[in-house]
Amino acid sequence: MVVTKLGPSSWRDALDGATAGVLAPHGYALKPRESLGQPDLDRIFLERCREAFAKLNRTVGQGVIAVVSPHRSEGRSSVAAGLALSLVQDLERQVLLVDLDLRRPGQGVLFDVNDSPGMVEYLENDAPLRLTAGGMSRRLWLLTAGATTGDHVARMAHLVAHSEFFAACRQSFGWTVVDLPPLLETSEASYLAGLADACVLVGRYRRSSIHALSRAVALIPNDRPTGFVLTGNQSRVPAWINRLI
Amino acid sequence: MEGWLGSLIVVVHRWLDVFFEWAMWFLIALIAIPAVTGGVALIGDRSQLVTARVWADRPVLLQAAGLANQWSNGTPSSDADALLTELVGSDWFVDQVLTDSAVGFKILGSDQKAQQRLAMRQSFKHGTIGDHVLQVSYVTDRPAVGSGLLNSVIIRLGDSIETLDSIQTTAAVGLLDSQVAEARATMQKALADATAYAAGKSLTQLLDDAHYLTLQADALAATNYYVSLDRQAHQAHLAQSALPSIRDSTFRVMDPPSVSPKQIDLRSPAIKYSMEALAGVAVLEFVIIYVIGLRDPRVRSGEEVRKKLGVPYLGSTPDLRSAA
Repeated sequence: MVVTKLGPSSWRDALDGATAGVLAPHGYALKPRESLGQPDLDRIFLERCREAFAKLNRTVGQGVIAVVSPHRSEGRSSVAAGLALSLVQDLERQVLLVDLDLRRPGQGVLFDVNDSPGMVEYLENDAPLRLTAGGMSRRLWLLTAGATTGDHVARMAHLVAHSEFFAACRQSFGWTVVDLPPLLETSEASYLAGLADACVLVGRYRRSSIHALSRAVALIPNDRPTGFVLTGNQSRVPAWINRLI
Repeated sequence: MEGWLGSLIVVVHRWLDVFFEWAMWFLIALIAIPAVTGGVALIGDRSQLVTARVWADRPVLLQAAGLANQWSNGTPSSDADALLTELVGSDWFVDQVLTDSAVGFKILGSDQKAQQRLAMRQSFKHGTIGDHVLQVSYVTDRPAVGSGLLNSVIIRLGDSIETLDSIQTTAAVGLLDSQVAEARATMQKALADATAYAAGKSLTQLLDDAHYLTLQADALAATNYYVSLDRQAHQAHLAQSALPSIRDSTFRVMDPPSVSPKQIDLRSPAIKYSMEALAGVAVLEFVIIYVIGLRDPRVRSGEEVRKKLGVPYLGSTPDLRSAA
Protein backbone atom coordinates (compact mmCIF):
# COMPACT_ATOMS: atom_id res chain seq x y z
CA MET A 1 0.00 0.00 0.00
CA VAL A 2 2.80 2.35 0.81
CA VAL A 3 4.51 1.63 -2.47
CA THR A 4 1.33 2.38 -4.40
CA LYS A 5 0.74 5.49 -2.42
CA LEU A 6 4.21 6.81 -3.01
CA GLY A 7 4.36 6.32 -6.75
CA PRO A 8 4.65 9.36 -9.00
CA SER A 9 1.04 9.16 -10.15
CA SER A 10 -0.19 8.93 -6.59
CA TRP A 11 1.89 11.88 -5.54
CA ARG A 12 0.62 13.88 -8.47
CA ASP A 13 -2.97 12.94 -7.75
CA ALA A 14 -2.49 13.90 -4.15
CA LEU A 15 -0.90 17.22 -5.02
CA ASP A 16 -3.42 18.05 -7.70
CA GLY A 17 -6.28 17.01 -5.48
CA ALA A 18 -4.98 19.03 -2.58
CA THR A 19 -4.54 22.15 -4.69
CA ALA A 20 -7.99 21.67 -6.24
CA GLY A 21 -9.59 21.14 -2.83
CA VAL A 22 -11.33 17.97 -3.99
CA LEU A 23 -11.03 14.39 -3.01
CA ALA A 24 -7.94 12.68 -4.26
CA PRO A 25 -7.43 8.91 -4.46
CA HIS A 26 -5.57 8.84 -1.22
CA GLY A 27 -6.67 12.02 0.48
CA TYR A 28 -8.48 15.29 0.26
CA ALA A 29 -8.06 18.83 1.40
CA LEU A 30 -9.10 19.00 5.00
CA LYS A 31 -9.48 22.75 5.07
CA PRO A 32 -9.86 24.04 1.53
CA ARG A 33 -10.46 27.60 2.79
CA GLU A 34 -7.42 27.63 5.08
CA SER A 35 -4.97 30.36 4.11
CA LEU A 36 -1.32 31.07 4.72
CA GLY A 37 -0.53 33.98 6.97
CA GLN A 38 1.75 36.81 5.96
CA PRO A 39 5.30 35.92 6.96
CA ASP A 40 7.34 38.55 8.73
CA LEU A 41 9.60 39.20 5.76
CA ASP A 42 9.98 42.80 4.74
CA ARG A 43 9.92 44.24 1.24
CA ILE A 44 13.69 44.55 0.95
CA PHE A 45 14.19 40.94 1.99
CA LEU A 46 11.76 39.74 -0.69
CA GLU A 47 13.38 42.01 -3.25
CA ARG A 48 16.78 40.49 -2.52
CA CYS A 49 15.28 37.00 -2.80
CA ARG A 50 13.83 38.00 -6.16
CA GLU A 51 17.25 39.20 -7.33
CA ALA A 52 18.83 35.97 -6.13
CA PHE A 53 16.30 33.91 -8.01
CA ALA A 54 16.81 36.01 -11.13
CA LYS A 55 20.51 35.15 -11.09
CA LEU A 56 19.83 31.48 -10.42
CA ASN A 57 17.16 31.38 -13.14
CA ARG A 58 19.79 32.07 -15.78
CA THR A 59 20.93 28.48 -15.44
CA VAL A 60 17.72 26.72 -14.36
CA GLY A 61 14.46 27.15 -16.25
CA GLN A 62 12.09 25.49 -13.86
CA GLY A 63 11.84 22.66 -11.40
CA VAL A 64 12.83 22.09 -7.81
CA ILE A 65 15.08 24.45 -5.89
CA ALA A 66 16.60 23.08 -2.71
CA VAL A 67 17.52 25.61 -0.07
CA VAL A 68 20.31 24.37 2.19
CA SER A 69 22.67 25.67 4.80
CA PRO A 70 25.57 24.17 6.77
CA HIS A 71 23.91 24.63 10.15
CA ARG A 72 20.70 25.82 11.73
CA SER A 73 19.80 29.45 12.41
CA GLU A 74 21.47 30.68 9.26
CA GLY A 75 18.33 32.02 7.60
CA ARG A 76 17.56 29.03 5.39
CA SER A 77 13.79 28.83 6.03
CA SER A 78 13.38 32.59 5.60
CA VAL A 79 15.20 32.48 2.27
CA ALA A 80 13.10 29.52 1.14
CA ALA A 81 9.91 31.37 2.04
CA GLY A 82 11.19 34.57 0.43
CA LEU A 83 12.10 32.75 -2.76
CA ALA A 84 8.68 31.12 -2.93
CA LEU A 85 6.88 34.41 -2.33
CA SER A 86 8.91 36.28 -4.92
CA LEU A 87 8.36 33.50 -7.45
CA VAL A 88 4.62 33.73 -6.92
CA GLN A 89 4.71 37.47 -7.45
CA ASP A 90 6.76 37.27 -10.63
CA LEU A 91 5.37 34.20 -12.33
CA GLU A 92 1.91 33.20 -13.39
CA ARG A 93 2.44 29.60 -12.41
CA GLN A 94 1.75 27.93 -9.11
CA VAL A 95 4.58 27.51 -6.65
CA LEU A 96 4.95 24.86 -3.98
CA LEU A 97 6.96 25.42 -0.84
CA VAL A 98 7.85 22.17 0.92
CA ASP A 99 9.23 22.00 4.45
CA LEU A 100 11.41 18.90 4.57
CA ASP A 101 13.21 19.87 7.77
CA LEU A 102 11.33 17.16 9.61
CA ARG A 103 13.27 17.50 12.85
CA ARG A 104 12.65 21.18 13.36
CA PRO A 105 10.11 22.42 10.83
CA GLY A 106 9.97 26.19 10.46
CA GLN A 107 7.64 27.11 7.63
CA GLY A 108 4.49 26.57 9.68
CA VAL A 109 5.60 29.19 12.17
CA LEU A 110 6.63 31.57 9.39
CA PHE A 111 3.26 31.36 7.61
CA ASP A 112 1.24 31.05 10.81
CA VAL A 113 -0.26 27.62 10.08
CA ASN A 114 -0.02 24.36 11.96
CA ASP A 115 2.81 22.08 10.90
CA SER A 116 0.62 19.07 11.40
CA PRO A 117 -0.88 17.37 9.52
CA GLY A 118 1.75 17.50 6.83
CA MET A 119 4.17 15.34 4.92
CA VAL A 120 4.79 12.94 7.79
CA GLU A 121 1.12 12.29 8.46
CA TYR A 122 0.50 11.68 4.77
CA LEU A 123 3.33 9.16 4.58
CA GLU A 124 2.80 7.42 7.89
CA ASN A 125 -0.85 7.57 8.75
CA ASP A 126 -2.53 7.47 5.39
CA ALA A 127 -3.90 10.91 6.15
CA PRO A 128 -5.01 13.21 3.35
CA LEU A 129 -2.30 15.43 1.90
CA ARG A 130 -2.76 18.90 3.25
CA LEU A 131 -1.61 21.87 1.22
CA THR A 132 -2.35 25.40 2.35
CA ALA A 133 -2.70 28.18 -0.19
CA GLY A 134 -1.66 31.79 0.11
CA GLY A 135 0.39 34.47 -1.48
CA MET A 136 -0.60 36.48 -4.52
CA SER A 137 -3.76 35.04 -6.14
CA ARG A 138 -3.37 32.08 -3.81
CA ARG A 139 -0.76 30.59 -6.12
CA LEU A 140 1.63 29.71 -3.32
CA TRP A 141 1.09 26.31 -1.73
CA LEU A 142 2.74 25.19 1.44
CA LEU A 143 3.34 21.55 2.31
CA THR A 144 4.31 21.50 5.96
CA ALA A 145 6.57 18.87 7.53
CA GLY A 146 4.13 17.39 9.98
CA ALA A 147 4.99 15.96 13.36
CA THR A 148 7.35 13.08 13.91
CA THR A 149 9.89 11.83 16.37
CA GLY A 150 13.59 11.93 15.71
CA ASP A 151 13.73 8.15 15.28
CA HIS A 152 11.51 8.24 12.23
CA VAL A 153 13.03 11.19 10.42
CA ALA A 154 15.58 9.20 8.49
CA ARG A 155 12.92 6.75 7.34
CA MET A 156 10.61 9.55 6.32
CA ALA A 157 13.36 11.24 4.35
CA HIS A 158 14.17 7.93 2.72
CA LEU A 159 10.54 7.50 1.69
CA VAL A 160 10.41 10.97 0.19
CA ALA A 161 13.65 10.45 -1.66
CA HIS A 162 12.51 7.21 -3.20
CA SER A 163 8.90 8.06 -3.85
CA GLU A 164 9.25 10.19 -6.96
CA PHE A 165 7.94 13.09 -4.96
CA PHE A 166 10.17 15.61 -6.74
CA ALA A 167 9.06 14.28 -10.12
CA ALA A 168 5.42 14.82 -9.18
CA CYS A 169 6.25 18.34 -8.00
CA ARG A 170 7.84 19.14 -11.36
CA GLN A 171 4.69 18.01 -13.12
CA SER A 172 2.18 19.80 -10.92
CA PHE A 173 3.98 23.07 -10.14
CA GLY A 174 6.01 25.55 -12.10
CA TRP A 175 8.49 25.87 -9.31
CA THR A 176 8.97 23.97 -6.09
CA VAL A 177 11.08 25.37 -3.29
CA VAL A 178 12.25 22.79 -0.77
CA ASP A 179 13.42 23.82 2.68
CA LEU A 180 15.95 21.12 3.53
CA PRO A 181 17.54 20.37 6.90
CA PRO A 182 21.11 21.55 7.60
CA LEU A 183 23.66 19.77 5.46
CA LEU A 184 26.25 19.29 8.20
CA GLU A 185 23.81 18.21 10.90
CA THR A 186 21.72 15.64 9.08
CA SER A 187 22.52 12.80 6.77
CA GLU A 188 19.47 13.05 4.53
CA ALA A 189 19.94 16.67 3.42
CA SER A 190 22.78 15.92 1.03
CA TYR A 191 20.85 13.14 -0.70
CA LEU A 192 17.68 15.21 -1.03
CA ALA A 193 19.68 18.17 -2.37
CA GLY A 194 21.00 15.88 -5.06
CA LEU A 195 17.45 15.25 -6.27
CA ALA A 196 16.70 18.93 -6.80
CA ASP A 197 17.34 20.82 -10.02
CA ALA A 198 19.28 23.60 -8.32
CA CYS A 199 20.55 24.43 -4.89
CA VAL A 200 20.66 27.68 -2.98
CA LEU A 201 23.32 27.55 -0.29
CA VAL A 202 22.58 29.91 2.57
CA GLY A 203 25.22 31.31 4.93
CA ARG A 204 24.77 33.87 7.61
CA TYR A 205 26.88 37.02 7.80
CA ARG A 206 29.47 36.77 10.58
CA ARG A 207 28.10 33.41 11.73
CA SER A 208 28.76 30.82 9.03
CA SER A 209 32.38 29.87 8.74
CA ILE A 210 34.08 29.47 5.42
CA HIS A 211 35.13 25.97 6.50
CA ALA A 212 31.53 24.93 7.18
CA LEU A 213 30.41 26.35 3.85
CA SER A 214 33.22 24.53 2.13
CA ARG A 215 32.15 21.23 3.67
CA ALA A 216 28.54 21.97 2.75
CA VAL A 217 29.48 22.67 -0.87
CA ALA A 218 31.34 19.38 -0.95
CA LEU A 219 28.09 17.58 0.01
CA ILE A 220 26.16 19.05 -2.91
CA PRO A 221 26.55 17.07 -6.14
CA ASN A 222 28.93 18.81 -8.51
CA ASP A 223 26.54 18.85 -11.44
CA ARG A 224 23.84 20.66 -9.48
CA PRO A 225 23.70 24.40 -10.25
CA THR A 226 24.34 26.11 -6.98
CA GLY A 227 24.35 29.69 -5.82
CA PHE A 228 25.15 31.34 -2.51
CA VAL A 229 22.95 33.75 -0.56
CA LEU A 230 24.34 35.67 2.39
CA THR A 231 21.71 36.29 5.03
CA GLY A 232 21.57 38.72 7.91
CA ASN A 233 23.95 41.08 6.13
CA GLN A 234 24.70 43.82 8.66
CA SER A 235 27.90 45.02 7.08
CA ARG A 236 28.45 48.69 7.87
CA VAL A 237 30.90 49.28 5.08
CA PRO A 238 29.50 52.30 3.26
CA ALA A 239 27.94 51.58 -0.10
CA TRP A 240 30.29 53.94 -1.91
CA ILE A 241 33.31 52.01 -0.61
CA ASN A 242 31.73 48.75 -1.75
CA ARG A 243 31.22 50.27 -5.18
CA LEU A 244 34.79 51.52 -5.19
CA ILE A 245 36.38 48.15 -4.44
CA MET B 1 46.73 39.13 -11.89
CA GLU B 2 42.95 39.20 -11.56
CA GLY B 3 43.04 36.35 -9.09
CA TRP B 4 45.65 38.11 -7.03
CA LEU B 5 43.75 41.39 -7.22
CA GLY B 6 40.46 39.67 -6.40
CA SER B 7 41.95 38.03 -3.32
CA LEU B 8 43.37 41.37 -2.22
CA ILE B 9 40.00 43.05 -2.65
CA VAL B 10 38.32 40.31 -0.59
CA VAL B 11 40.90 40.79 2.19
CA VAL B 12 40.59 44.58 2.07
CA HIS B 13 36.82 44.25 2.27
CA ARG B 14 37.19 42.00 5.31
CA TRP B 15 39.45 44.57 6.99
CA LEU B 16 36.99 47.35 6.22
CA ASP B 17 34.13 45.23 7.49
CA VAL B 18 35.95 44.58 10.77
CA PHE B 19 36.78 48.27 11.07
CA PHE B 20 33.22 49.44 10.51
CA GLU B 21 31.89 46.69 12.78
CA TRP B 22 33.86 48.14 15.67
CA ALA B 23 34.25 51.69 14.36
CA MET B 24 32.38 53.28 17.24
CA TRP B 25 34.47 51.49 19.87
CA PHE B 26 37.66 52.12 17.95
CA LEU B 27 36.85 55.82 17.87
CA ILE B 28 35.95 55.92 21.55
CA ALA B 29 39.20 54.13 22.45
CA LEU B 30 41.15 56.43 20.18
CA ILE B 31 39.79 59.48 22.00
CA ALA B 32 39.24 58.24 25.53
CA ILE B 33 42.49 56.40 26.23
CA PRO B 34 44.82 59.26 25.18
CA ALA B 35 42.57 61.74 27.00
CA VAL B 36 42.64 59.70 30.21
CA THR B 37 46.37 59.13 29.89
CA GLY B 38 47.00 62.83 29.36
CA GLY B 39 44.69 63.72 32.24
CA VAL B 40 46.43 61.35 34.62
CA ALA B 41 49.81 62.69 33.52
CA LEU B 42 48.58 66.23 34.02
CA ILE B 43 47.28 65.49 37.52
CA GLY B 44 50.36 63.51 38.48
CA ASP B 45 52.76 66.11 37.13
CA ARG B 46 53.93 68.18 40.11
CA SER B 47 56.71 69.91 38.25
CA GLN B 48 56.74 73.66 37.83
CA LEU B 49 58.26 75.85 35.20
CA VAL B 50 60.80 78.45 36.33
CA THR B 51 61.51 81.06 33.69
CA ALA B 52 63.87 84.01 33.31
CA ARG B 53 64.53 86.47 30.49
CA VAL B 54 67.82 88.10 29.62
CA TRP B 55 68.60 91.11 27.42
CA ALA B 56 71.47 90.54 25.05
CA ASP B 57 73.16 93.15 22.87
CA ARG B 58 76.53 93.92 21.35
CA PRO B 59 78.67 96.65 22.89
CA VAL B 60 77.98 100.00 21.24
CA LEU B 61 81.67 100.72 21.30
CA LEU B 62 82.36 97.57 19.31
CA GLN B 63 79.85 98.66 16.71
CA ALA B 64 81.39 102.10 16.61
CA ALA B 65 84.80 100.53 16.24
CA GLY B 66 83.52 98.40 13.37
CA LEU B 67 84.11 95.18 15.31
CA ALA B 68 80.55 93.96 15.61
CA ASN B 69 80.80 91.88 12.48
CA GLN B 70 83.82 90.11 13.85
CA TRP B 71 81.56 88.21 16.20
CA SER B 72 78.58 86.93 14.19
CA ASN B 73 76.09 87.76 11.49
CA GLY B 74 73.12 86.72 13.67
CA THR B 75 71.07 88.71 16.13
CA PRO B 76 72.44 89.22 19.65
CA SER B 77 69.81 86.91 21.14
CA SER B 78 70.47 84.16 18.57
CA ASP B 79 74.21 84.49 19.19
CA ALA B 80 73.67 84.10 22.91
CA ASP B 81 71.25 81.23 22.32
CA ALA B 82 73.76 79.44 20.09
CA LEU B 83 76.50 79.95 22.63
CA LEU B 84 74.24 78.64 25.39
CA THR B 85 73.49 75.53 23.35
CA GLU B 86 77.18 74.80 23.06
CA LEU B 87 77.81 75.53 26.70
CA VAL B 88 75.02 73.31 27.95
CA GLY B 89 76.44 70.57 25.76
CA SER B 90 79.71 70.73 27.65
CA ASP B 91 80.14 68.94 30.98
CA TRP B 92 82.42 71.72 32.17
CA PHE B 93 79.64 74.32 32.02
CA VAL B 94 76.97 72.03 33.42
CA ASP B 95 79.24 71.00 36.29
CA GLN B 96 79.84 74.65 37.13
CA VAL B 97 76.12 75.40 37.12
CA LEU B 98 75.24 72.33 39.18
CA THR B 99 78.03 73.08 41.63
CA ASP B 100 76.54 76.53 42.09
CA SER B 101 72.93 75.41 42.44
CA ALA B 102 72.81 71.79 43.64
CA VAL B 103 74.09 71.19 47.15
CA GLY B 104 76.52 68.30 47.35
CA PHE B 105 77.04 67.94 43.62
CA LYS B 106 80.78 68.08 44.03
CA ILE B 107 80.94 65.02 46.24
CA LEU B 108 78.79 62.84 44.02
CA GLY B 109 80.21 59.86 42.18
CA SER B 110 80.77 60.03 38.45
CA ASP B 111 77.64 58.01 37.65
CA GLN B 112 75.47 60.19 39.84
CA LYS B 113 77.01 63.29 38.30
CA ALA B 114 76.25 61.97 34.86
CA GLN B 115 72.63 61.38 35.89
CA GLN B 116 72.36 64.89 37.27
CA ARG B 117 73.83 66.33 34.09
CA LEU B 118 71.36 64.37 32.00
CA ALA B 119 68.43 65.47 34.15
CA MET B 120 69.58 69.08 33.98
CA ARG B 121 69.89 68.98 30.19
CA GLN B 122 66.42 67.41 29.84
CA SER B 123 64.76 69.93 32.12
CA PHE B 124 66.56 73.01 30.87
CA LYS B 125 65.15 74.82 27.84
CA HIS B 126 66.14 78.05 26.17
CA GLY B 127 65.08 80.10 23.20
CA THR B 128 64.93 83.57 21.75
CA ILE B 129 62.22 86.19 21.79
CA GLY B 130 62.93 88.71 19.09
CA ASP B 131 66.43 90.01 18.36
CA HIS B 132 67.53 90.76 21.88
CA VAL B 133 65.68 88.64 24.41
CA LEU B 134 66.88 85.24 25.48
CA GLN B 135 64.47 83.12 27.54
CA VAL B 136 65.71 80.32 29.76
CA SER B 137 63.48 77.96 31.67
CA TYR B 138 63.81 74.97 33.93
CA VAL B 139 61.20 72.36 34.79
CA THR B 140 61.46 71.22 38.39
CA ASP B 141 59.31 70.26 41.32
CA ARG B 142 61.50 72.51 43.54
CA PRO B 143 61.20 76.10 42.28
CA ALA B 144 63.97 77.35 44.57
CA VAL B 145 66.44 74.94 43.03
CA GLY B 146 65.25 75.94 39.58
CA SER B 147 65.72 79.64 40.33
CA GLY B 148 69.22 79.04 41.66
CA LEU B 149 70.11 77.00 38.62
CA LEU B 150 68.84 79.64 36.19
CA ASN B 151 70.69 82.37 38.06
CA SER B 152 73.85 80.34 37.77
CA VAL B 153 73.26 79.72 34.07
CA ILE B 154 72.74 83.44 33.45
CA ILE B 155 75.85 84.45 35.36
CA ARG B 156 78.00 81.81 33.70
CA LEU B 157 76.59 82.69 30.31
CA GLY B 158 77.32 86.38 30.91
CA ASP B 159 80.87 85.51 31.89
CA SER B 160 81.28 83.42 28.81
CA ILE B 161 79.90 86.12 26.53
CA GLU B 162 82.20 88.68 28.14
CA THR B 163 85.18 86.38 27.77
CA LEU B 164 84.28 85.66 24.21
CA ASP B 165 83.77 89.34 23.49
CA SER B 166 87.12 90.06 25.06
CA ILE B 167 88.89 87.37 23.05
CA GLN B 168 87.25 88.44 19.85
CA THR B 169 87.92 92.11 20.53
CA THR B 170 91.54 91.44 21.42
CA ALA B 171 91.99 89.49 18.25
CA ALA B 172 90.29 92.22 16.24
CA VAL B 173 92.34 94.96 17.93
CA GLY B 174 95.54 93.04 17.25
CA LEU B 175 94.55 92.71 13.64
CA LEU B 176 93.73 96.42 13.47
CA ASP B 177 97.06 97.33 15.07
CA SER B 178 98.96 95.32 12.50
CA GLN B 179 96.91 96.91 9.75
CA VAL B 180 97.67 100.36 11.20
CA ALA B 181 101.38 99.56 11.28
CA GLU B 182 101.28 98.37 7.72
CA ALA B 183 99.33 101.45 6.63
CA ARG B 184 101.78 103.66 8.47
CA ALA B 185 104.70 102.06 6.64
CA THR B 186 102.94 102.39 3.30
CA MET B 187 102.16 106.02 4.02
CA GLN B 188 105.74 106.77 5.06
CA LYS B 189 107.12 105.12 1.95
CA ALA B 190 104.74 107.06 -0.30
CA LEU B 191 105.72 110.33 1.39
CA ALA B 192 109.40 109.48 1.10
CA ASP B 193 109.05 108.65 -2.59
CA ALA B 194 107.27 111.93 -3.27
CA THR B 195 109.78 113.93 -1.24
CA ALA B 196 112.75 112.29 -2.93
CA TYR B 197 111.31 112.92 -6.36
CA ALA B 198 110.65 116.58 -5.53
CA ALA B 199 114.18 117.20 -4.33
CA GLY B 200 116.00 119.68 -6.66
CA LYS B 201 112.89 120.59 -8.63
CA SER B 202 111.13 123.92 -8.52
CA LEU B 203 107.49 124.20 -7.50
CA THR B 204 106.57 125.36 -11.01
CA GLN B 205 108.19 122.31 -12.53
CA LEU B 206 106.51 119.99 -10.07
CA LEU B 207 103.07 121.43 -10.74
CA ASP B 208 103.35 120.37 -14.38
CA ASP B 209 105.01 117.02 -13.61
CA ALA B 210 102.50 114.20 -14.04
CA HIS B 211 104.68 111.65 -12.26
CA TYR B 212 105.02 113.89 -9.24
CA LEU B 213 101.30 114.45 -9.15
CA THR B 214 100.75 110.69 -9.14
CA LEU B 215 103.23 110.22 -6.30
CA GLN B 216 101.54 113.01 -4.39
CA ALA B 217 98.08 111.43 -4.86
CA ASP B 218 99.40 108.04 -3.70
CA ALA B 219 100.90 109.62 -0.60
CA LEU B 220 97.64 111.40 0.16
CA ALA B 221 95.58 108.22 -0.22
CA ALA B 222 98.00 106.24 1.97
CA THR B 223 97.83 108.98 4.58
CA ASN B 224 94.01 109.00 4.59
CA TYR B 225 93.90 105.24 4.90
CA TYR B 226 96.33 105.30 7.77
CA VAL B 227 94.40 108.02 9.59
CA SER B 228 91.16 106.10 9.18
CA LEU B 229 92.64 102.86 10.47
CA ASP B 230 94.31 104.60 13.32
CA ARG B 231 91.02 106.15 14.40
CA GLN B 232 89.34 102.76 14.22
CA ALA B 233 92.13 101.17 16.23
CA HIS B 234 91.79 103.87 18.83
CA GLN B 235 88.07 103.18 19.17
CA ALA B 236 88.76 99.48 19.39
CA HIS B 237 91.24 99.98 22.18
CA LEU B 238 88.67 102.04 24.03
CA ALA B 239 86.05 99.33 23.54
CA GLN B 240 88.42 96.63 24.72
CA SER B 241 89.22 98.44 27.88
CA ALA B 242 85.58 99.27 28.51
CA LEU B 243 84.21 95.73 28.07
CA PRO B 244 84.02 94.79 31.77
CA SER B 245 82.36 98.03 32.67
CA ILE B 246 79.70 97.91 29.94
CA ARG B 247 78.59 94.35 30.65
CA ASP B 248 75.27 95.49 32.04
CA SER B 249 74.43 97.23 28.79
CA THR B 250 75.18 94.15 26.73
CA PHE B 251 73.91 91.33 28.95
CA ARG B 252 71.49 91.87 31.79
CA VAL B 253 68.61 90.09 33.45
CA MET B 254 65.25 91.51 32.42
CA ASP B 255 62.98 89.12 34.34
CA PRO B 256 64.63 87.23 37.18
CA PRO B 257 63.75 83.55 37.60
CA SER B 258 60.16 83.06 38.68
CA VAL B 259 57.58 80.30 38.59
CA SER B 260 55.42 80.55 35.47
CA PRO B 261 51.88 79.25 35.20
CA LYS B 262 51.94 75.70 33.96
CA GLN B 263 51.47 75.64 30.22
CA ILE B 264 50.48 72.68 28.14
CA ASP B 265 52.66 72.66 25.09
CA LEU B 266 53.86 69.93 22.81
CA ARG B 267 56.72 69.10 25.13
CA SER B 268 54.68 68.80 28.31
CA PRO B 269 54.34 65.32 29.79
CA ALA B 270 50.56 65.33 29.41
CA ILE B 271 50.76 65.90 25.67
CA LYS B 272 53.69 63.55 25.32
CA TYR B 273 51.93 60.68 27.06
CA SER B 274 48.69 61.45 25.20
CA MET B 275 50.46 61.23 21.88
CA GLU B 276 52.16 58.02 22.89
CA ALA B 277 48.83 56.56 24.00
CA LEU B 278 47.21 57.70 20.76
CA ALA B 279 49.91 56.05 18.69
CA GLY B 280 49.71 52.91 20.82
CA VAL B 281 45.94 52.64 20.54
CA ALA B 282 46.07 53.27 16.80
CA VAL B 283 48.69 50.58 16.29
CA LEU B 284 46.75 48.17 18.50
CA GLU B 285 43.58 48.82 16.52
CA PHE B 286 45.40 48.24 13.26
CA VAL B 287 46.73 44.95 14.61
CA ILE B 288 43.28 43.90 15.78
CA ILE B 289 41.75 44.70 12.41
CA TYR B 290 44.59 42.96 10.59
CA VAL B 291 44.45 39.81 12.70
CA ILE B 292 40.65 39.50 12.73
CA GLY B 293 40.52 40.19 9.01
CA LEU B 294 42.93 37.38 8.30
CA ARG B 295 42.16 34.86 11.02
CA ASP B 296 38.41 35.09 11.62
CA PRO B 297 36.88 32.24 9.56
CA ARG B 298 33.37 33.72 9.57
CA VAL B 299 31.96 34.87 6.27
CA ARG B 300 31.73 38.62 5.79
CA SER B 301 30.78 38.88 2.14
CA GLY B 302 29.33 36.75 -0.62
CA GLU B 303 32.22 37.69 -2.88
CA GLU B 304 34.52 35.92 -0.46
CA VAL B 305 32.52 32.68 -0.83
CA ARG B 306 32.61 33.02 -4.60
CA LYS B 307 36.35 33.57 -4.53
CA LYS B 308 37.21 30.78 -2.11
CA LEU B 309 34.60 28.13 -2.93
CA GLY B 310 33.74 28.92 -6.53
CA VAL B 311 30.02 29.15 -5.77
CA PRO B 312 28.23 31.93 -7.68
CA TYR B 313 27.06 34.73 -5.41
CA LEU B 314 23.35 35.35 -5.78
CA GLY B 315 23.03 38.23 -3.32
CA SER B 316 22.51 39.06 0.30
CA THR B 317 19.47 39.63 2.46
CA PRO B 318 19.18 42.10 5.33
CA ASP B 319 18.98 40.96 8.91
CA LEU B 320 15.63 39.74 10.15
CA ARG B 321 14.73 39.65 13.79
CA SER B 322 14.52 35.88 13.87
CA ALA B 323 16.23 33.89 11.20
CA ALA B 324 14.82 30.39 11.16
